[in-house]
Amino acid sequence: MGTQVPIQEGLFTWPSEDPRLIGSECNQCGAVLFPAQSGCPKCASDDTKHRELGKRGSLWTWTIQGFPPKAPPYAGDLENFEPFGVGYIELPGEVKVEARLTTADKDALKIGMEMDLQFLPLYVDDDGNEVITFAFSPAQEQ
Amino acid sequence: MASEDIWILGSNMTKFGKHPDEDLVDLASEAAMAALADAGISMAEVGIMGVGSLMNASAGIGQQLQKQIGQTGIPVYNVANACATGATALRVAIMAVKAGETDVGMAVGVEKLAGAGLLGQAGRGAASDTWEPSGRFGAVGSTEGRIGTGIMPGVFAQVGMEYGHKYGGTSFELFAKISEKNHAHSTLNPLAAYQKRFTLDEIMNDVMIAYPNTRPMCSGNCDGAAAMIVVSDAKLKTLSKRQQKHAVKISASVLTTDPYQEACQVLPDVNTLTRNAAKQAYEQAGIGPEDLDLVELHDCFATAELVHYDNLMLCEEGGAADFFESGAPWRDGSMPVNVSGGLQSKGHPIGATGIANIHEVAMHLRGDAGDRQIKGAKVGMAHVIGLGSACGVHILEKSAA
Repeated sequence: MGTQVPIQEGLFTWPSEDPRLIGSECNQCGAVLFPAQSGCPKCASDDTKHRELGKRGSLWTWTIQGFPPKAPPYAGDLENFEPFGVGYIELPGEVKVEARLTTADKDALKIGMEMDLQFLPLYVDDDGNEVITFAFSPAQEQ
Repeated sequence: MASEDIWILGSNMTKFGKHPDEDLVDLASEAAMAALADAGISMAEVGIMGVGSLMNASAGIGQQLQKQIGQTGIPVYNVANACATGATALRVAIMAVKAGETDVGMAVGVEKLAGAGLLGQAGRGAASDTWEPSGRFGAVGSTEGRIGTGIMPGVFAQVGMEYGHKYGGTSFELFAKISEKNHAHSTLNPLAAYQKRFTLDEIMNDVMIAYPNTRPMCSGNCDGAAAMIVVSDAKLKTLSKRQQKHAVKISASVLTTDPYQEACQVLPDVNTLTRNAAKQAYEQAGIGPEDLDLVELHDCFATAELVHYDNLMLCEEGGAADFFESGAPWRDGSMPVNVSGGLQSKGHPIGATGIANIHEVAMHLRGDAGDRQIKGAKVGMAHVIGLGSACGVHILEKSAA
């Protein structure tokens, strides 16, 4: 039995007590980006620092991927493919982040609704490790 | 400054669809030779070629094409710019003529895509040794289904959902009606890959690809090529009266990319760069949207067509749903949009698309559009967008000669 591993190092602070996405902030103009990068597309400076992003945002747009993507790069189970929700979450004052959504029910999703950051297992890799990624779910209290 | 005008002297597109017996270069040469014949000139007079084939961007298609139609030693620029590849090839030819390096330029776009499936993420062999995106950006930008979707139906579904939320008035049914229009238009276009008319029920009950786009609401992958000959004003003046009458003026030729925005770096914003391109094009041409007699816009998905009504300023800001409901974009409406059938039925062989939509407008301005002719058309616009992003907008005017 393998262990749990992040889908990519440097993308988020999981595992930790209060895991966050890791973005960057430009020291010159304040632009926030995700994932973190060393240059700034807004003001073209190369002076940025890491910034842990907020974990609640609002749903900016969404769809439901109804068809299995090509594999690779798609790593999910093709034979038992289930449509999945995807969207953009606007983290207030920071940046919009693309993410999987925890629901694929079109009646449960409404643009503007509050969404919370989650971490969940996505698939099991060739070494038997459970690969963890981030996703957003509708907030319990709307 | 009339002396700097650039003219389309010849133009051609192959039938779009399945061409299993024709190679990429066969299709490109068919279109290129037909465009030369249409222009009434020979390859010996052409001084530059811009050639685009996105899926074969590193194959030197321009040079392969020269071996079929004439190795005259002229410069070839093989270009790649996502779905704006064809328009970019044409821009290269136009820029060379404008710069005075030559009086005659050729642009060719070609693609073999029949059966390619969902686009946006290249399917790779699992054992491939070639470089693959990885690290932070690989995980976010290219890892399909892990954290998002880079597949085009999903991207453009979200574009339409966002517009609908911002301005209201949209619904699954409205988006399906846009597709109904384009499929109806295609029945008059013998060059379209699909000429089948669909009922609204058929469209809404087809397979859901990415809500709210069902299968017929997505552009069709197919094979095809398009080619165009452009000339300077000085060159046109030396040609026959027939050629002068036949020429179509390029009143505006614009290519834009994304300006920085408070968003995320993987989020495609198809709106801002399209609006910027349209603004620049109207300014270059010295006209407004009210002067247009027809528009070919990049309806890669039904949801995309709706937002581009607004981005190209065919309607008031936020008024795209009302604009469609008014009947304006039908071929008998006040602002016919995609009378070719659009990408949803004419098809979308990527490299060819950006030239083919300009070809369509040019044929109407010449009065050569056959059964689908928009009567008396004098001014038209063609729009194309490639994600990443690049947006091309051209405005054409009927020859005064």
